Amino acid sequence: MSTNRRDFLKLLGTAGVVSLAGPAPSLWSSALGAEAAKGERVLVLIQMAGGNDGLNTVIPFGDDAYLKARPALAIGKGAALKLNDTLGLHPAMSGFRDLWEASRLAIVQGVGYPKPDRSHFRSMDIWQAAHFSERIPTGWVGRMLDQTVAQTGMAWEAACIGQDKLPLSCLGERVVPPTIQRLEEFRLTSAGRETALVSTAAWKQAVSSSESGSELDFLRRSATSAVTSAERLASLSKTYRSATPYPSSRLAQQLQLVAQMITADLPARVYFVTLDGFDTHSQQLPGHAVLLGELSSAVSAFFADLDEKGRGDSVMLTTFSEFGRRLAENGSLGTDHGAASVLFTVTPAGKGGLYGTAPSLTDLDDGDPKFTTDFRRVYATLLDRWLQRPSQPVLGEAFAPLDFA
Amino acid sequence: MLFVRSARVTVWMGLASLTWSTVGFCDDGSLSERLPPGAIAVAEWANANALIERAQSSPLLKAAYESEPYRQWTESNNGRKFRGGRAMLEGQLGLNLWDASKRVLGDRGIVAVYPPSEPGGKPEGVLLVRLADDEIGGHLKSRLEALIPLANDKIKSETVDGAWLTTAPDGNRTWVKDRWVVGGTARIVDDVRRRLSETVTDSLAKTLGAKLSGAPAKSDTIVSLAVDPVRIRELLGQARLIPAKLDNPLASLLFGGLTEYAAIGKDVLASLQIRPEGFDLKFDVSGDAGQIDAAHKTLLSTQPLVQPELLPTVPRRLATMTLVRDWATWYRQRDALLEAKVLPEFDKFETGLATFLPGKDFSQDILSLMSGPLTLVFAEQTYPHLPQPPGLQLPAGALVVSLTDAQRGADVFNLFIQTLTSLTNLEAAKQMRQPWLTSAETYKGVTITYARYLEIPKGQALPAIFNAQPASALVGSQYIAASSVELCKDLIDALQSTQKTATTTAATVQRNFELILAPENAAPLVKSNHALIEARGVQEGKTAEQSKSEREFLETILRTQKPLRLSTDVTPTGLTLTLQGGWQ
Amino acid sequence: MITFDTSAAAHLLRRLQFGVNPEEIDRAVREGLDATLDRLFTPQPETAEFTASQAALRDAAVATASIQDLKAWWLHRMAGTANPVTEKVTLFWHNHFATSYNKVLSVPMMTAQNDLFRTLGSGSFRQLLTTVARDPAMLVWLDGNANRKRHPNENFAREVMELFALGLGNYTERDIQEAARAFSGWHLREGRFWFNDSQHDSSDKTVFGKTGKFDGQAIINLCLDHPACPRFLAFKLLRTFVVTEPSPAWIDRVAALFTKHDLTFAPVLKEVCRSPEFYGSDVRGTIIKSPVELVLGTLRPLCERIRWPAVRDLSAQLGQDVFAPPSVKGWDGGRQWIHATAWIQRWNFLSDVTGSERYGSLRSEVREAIAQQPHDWVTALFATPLSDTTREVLTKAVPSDRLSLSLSLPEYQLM
Repeated sequence: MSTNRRDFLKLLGTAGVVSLAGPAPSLWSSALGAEAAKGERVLVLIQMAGGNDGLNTVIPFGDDAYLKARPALAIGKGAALKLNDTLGLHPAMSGFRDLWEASRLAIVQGVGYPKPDRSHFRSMDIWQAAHFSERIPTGWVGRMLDQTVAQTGMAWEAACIGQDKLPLSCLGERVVPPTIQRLEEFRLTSAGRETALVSTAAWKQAVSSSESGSELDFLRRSATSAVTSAERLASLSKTYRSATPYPSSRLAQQLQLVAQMITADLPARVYFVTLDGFDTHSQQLPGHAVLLGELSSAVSAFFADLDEKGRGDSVMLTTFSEFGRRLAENGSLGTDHGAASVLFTVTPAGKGGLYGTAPSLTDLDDGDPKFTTDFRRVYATLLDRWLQRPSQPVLGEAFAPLDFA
Repeated sequence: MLFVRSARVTVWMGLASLTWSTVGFCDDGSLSERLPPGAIAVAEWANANALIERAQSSPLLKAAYESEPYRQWTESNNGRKFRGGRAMLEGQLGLNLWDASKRVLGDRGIVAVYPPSEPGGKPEGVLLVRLADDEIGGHLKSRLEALIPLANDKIKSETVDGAWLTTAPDGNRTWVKDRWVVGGTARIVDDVRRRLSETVTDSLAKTLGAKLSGAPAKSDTIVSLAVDPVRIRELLGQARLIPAKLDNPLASLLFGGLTEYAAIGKDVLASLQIRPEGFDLKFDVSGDAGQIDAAHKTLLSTQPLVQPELLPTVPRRLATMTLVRDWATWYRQRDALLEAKVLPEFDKFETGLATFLPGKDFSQDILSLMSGPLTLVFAEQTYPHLPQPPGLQLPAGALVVSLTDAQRGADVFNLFIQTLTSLTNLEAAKQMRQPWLTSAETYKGVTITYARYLEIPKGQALPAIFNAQPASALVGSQYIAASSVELCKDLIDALQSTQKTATTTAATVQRNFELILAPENAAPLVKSNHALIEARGVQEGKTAEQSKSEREFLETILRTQKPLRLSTDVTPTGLTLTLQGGWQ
Repeated sequence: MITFDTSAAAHLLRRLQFGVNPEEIDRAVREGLDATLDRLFTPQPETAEFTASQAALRDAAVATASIQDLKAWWLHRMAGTANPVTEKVTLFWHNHFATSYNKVLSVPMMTAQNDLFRTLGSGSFRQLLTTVARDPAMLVWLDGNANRKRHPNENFAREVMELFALGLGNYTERDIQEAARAFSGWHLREGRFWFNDSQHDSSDKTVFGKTGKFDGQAIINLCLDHPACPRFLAFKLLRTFVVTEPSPAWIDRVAALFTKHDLTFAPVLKEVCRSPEFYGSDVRGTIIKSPVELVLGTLRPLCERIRWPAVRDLSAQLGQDVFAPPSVKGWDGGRQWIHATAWIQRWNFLSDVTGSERYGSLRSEVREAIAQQPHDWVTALFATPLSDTTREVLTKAVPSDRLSLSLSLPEYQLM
């Protein structure tokens, strides 16, 4: 049992015992189970909204076609952080370079889908729904959670951090994950009294009996476990200490909250965060550098923190974006909506490397590199190999997983 | 009586410092005659009773007393406390507060601040009040003396030479005799006591006091202030008290010239005169114009004033603001005017601009198209171009700039508007809104280019976007960009009338900045948006009736307001800032 | 035989209006079941204050064309009206024909659709469905303009069968494809329904085994005459107003009522409410309150000076953003309302009701009445009998805590 867990069970005190006295709550149940939660695999998704320019992220500096198509925006061999003789990371991504050197960074090249759509909304919907029908109102994570509870009874949860509305990815038919803007909002207010009423012994006594109908039983169970979770998250924010300094960026603050929740063994198995601003139509260089720097420094602090807590090996993080950008730069020192792009996965030690094939920069489809890896293969990898949930029912057809997990 | 109201405008525009020094004593001399010289700041008031009486009988106060919000406040906890406290105080004084303030403060008074008497000490101050009548001093003594023991003997109260003298443990004292009240540090209070009974040759009236305004007509109240910034800088051992660079670009643009003069100037004078029909607040800074650096000089450009305002008024005007600046040079000198932390914002702005006008420099290619005055105008609309007004009625706004090269300037600005129209149309299509069509019409010989709607929905109130029908026109070298055709036409009228009068009147005033607010014209706007304003009240849990009465109160308040005018004028030695307002 | 005591009266009122207070219960018991139902189902005059406030809120929504203002208008209407059944029925149809502003993007259209539910909702479903099929907001919502002769769009045809009139299992995919052709050319032009005959497929279609040159209205009529239609309406009515999982037998009985009343809604609802089953212990206190039920049902009886923007935002946060249902299926309701964050948000709201002015001010007489005479309020607040333990805890609580403790109990989430 990790010290963290022990700390939390101590913090739970009698309250936790009372809550366990009734039938085991179905929600957040893994958080309350003894050793069950330890080391459960967690997936963190970072949405790079706006369409990230993959070519200036993982830079093919060895390719003349790249240099020619981008007279103003190309990042040369000298500046890029070298991955091998022909590829380098954007100079702002030193944190990712360190992960690469530790064999923890998997780069999937040429990710996309057939008949690419260049509308932000439509393409983002396709990525999040993992489906091409306009009528699918659920996302791939949401469907996975639905199927998990239906097939195994395990109430896996997802948590969307810092979102002002639920991302389509996480929306299921039955499961609606909490969107936690800030930790403070997942906190019981006491409106003038010392502690929230539901944290008092009287309340706990009042909800302890279980002699009535099913709806009421359900409410009592879920209420008790919600109180327990809130109390734990409240103590969590009081006791959480990290030796790892996080940058002050919004993304870093959100990932720090995710790390807090992961180390507290909360039952969310998928966390979703967003970094917005990748729609770099003009004056791309400075803005793009800031965004990639924010991503790289936040993610590297996040894993340093998880490693410190001994949880780095149970967390996989994947980035995605609705599309890449065109090969040729535009007239405003920027790039326009494109198609295939790269994505990153931070994978437990040893599985780092390049996956998929880098698309040719001379054989283009309407000015865009052609995709070589269907994005659903990445999802299949995350589902089948990492979370160990069957991907075919979620994605509607079978996709061959990649080897980074 | 040197303070002549009709000469006010000329007195204030122009040779201000000379005027200040000659406005000295009249039949009723300044109380600075009774103060010792050497003050670093002095403020004097006269005829405060005129102001107090006006406030007491003001229709605004009456409207406030009768308003629903006031009624609610009086019933609230704070309201009850306030009323209780007031009743207690009035009981103790045996006077109501209005009468008490008239009789104590209603005549004249002066406050002066002196440098510390020894190095490292605190500045010293004195207050001298001439009571309005002979009895009130004795009355106050009889009412308040009894309270002194409550302060645990710490305050000493005694009668000396027929005067009531109280001394606090820290040495501050007050002295009341006949119609005089003196308060402040012991040394100066005692000096003033002496000066009240003897004739002394030197006095503050001969130095800083000479710069104060004299007593006005009985019906006017005046408060006047003189500061000696040279002495203050000397005493503090600092070359300037106000930094040369400001951290707010707008504040710098509006008042950077004024603060620079205040920072290096040799006189800072102010006066507030309250008349039966309005008030004037004047702030005058003067110094050596040669000391102003090139960067700040760009903020001190002027336009000769040939009529009461730089730009004649338009109907239903809510506000006008005119800035006269050397725009292109100002922009290039921004590093010397603004703190480094705000400068990156300009870079971002330039980057954004590049999408409109690639390869152009904002200062060299755009600002240089403009010379001198730039005016923003806001006015209520009547929507002659629409069959029915929008549901939410917003004021129209316009920008008027003087162009150096009229045709080139108009081309560049029109390009902005066209680009904006196209972008808006793309957005409109996405949201199923009506697009704009560019059209033109001729008005009084001027071509107006404007956007009209492809179609105007009939039936219920129009969406708020219908408040905007961008229009532009070129009148001589003046370029108008307005959010409505109506305001564009009104501005054409205004500019054509300026051009007619401009040649006939000789300018005496060099205007640098002008802001005119006409709150009374906002009243109709409140009325036409009444449903929305009342609904906000209902949404916050008020009854419909309550919300309505609050909205009506707001309208009443606005209706009683006369225009407020803030302007700065450049004089050979400095800058005068004037705030004028009126009431009904 | 129905014993129409305080508990039964409270149950009836809880289902037909938003929350209930002891005076309303007393009045219902005094008048008896029949008179109470007659009153609830007969238009009652609105107060002058309500009418004036409603007018101001609606005018504002029109003026700003802001959906947020329209939401405030409707929530205020639901809580303040003298005709709560009308609003409950309107909300029922909003959930049935779930249309979201997020796609329609027109406040006038959403307003018109809402009015339509209000004016036609209690009457004939034939007229309602016929009108909704041509409603501009619905045409935008289900892509009417995309349904063209050579490219039929099945969106509307599918929902008419699956969600609006029949329910799953009562039609085939082929029925949908054929019906979609019948609705082709049902377009929106200049904000109004427009039959675009150049895009209408007038050839033969076969739907439910019948063949003809059906147009859209013919399909609607086929659906309305389909035996599944009354059963589907009966299921939806029972599920919303009576019990989450109605028995097939009960659905059949209510379907027969729909047939008897030719698919007219209010008379069926009224008859259901005066049937003995409605008062069974397996019905009372079995529905988990929706956010709107919880929020309005708490604020209306307990508070005054309600702050509508805060209420609107709260309801959306809790998962029921009126005028913006998550999909054409509407809100699932029931247990779907409840998850960890939802609990915390619900409790925080309830603790604000008694401890802050964030959503409104607690009526002082309520605070006193609950501290001194808790018994009357227990009937009003709880739809389900309290256990002895819970009763004991409430009795022992200091009087000033009684209300907030009551509201925080899981029992309070049921209606």
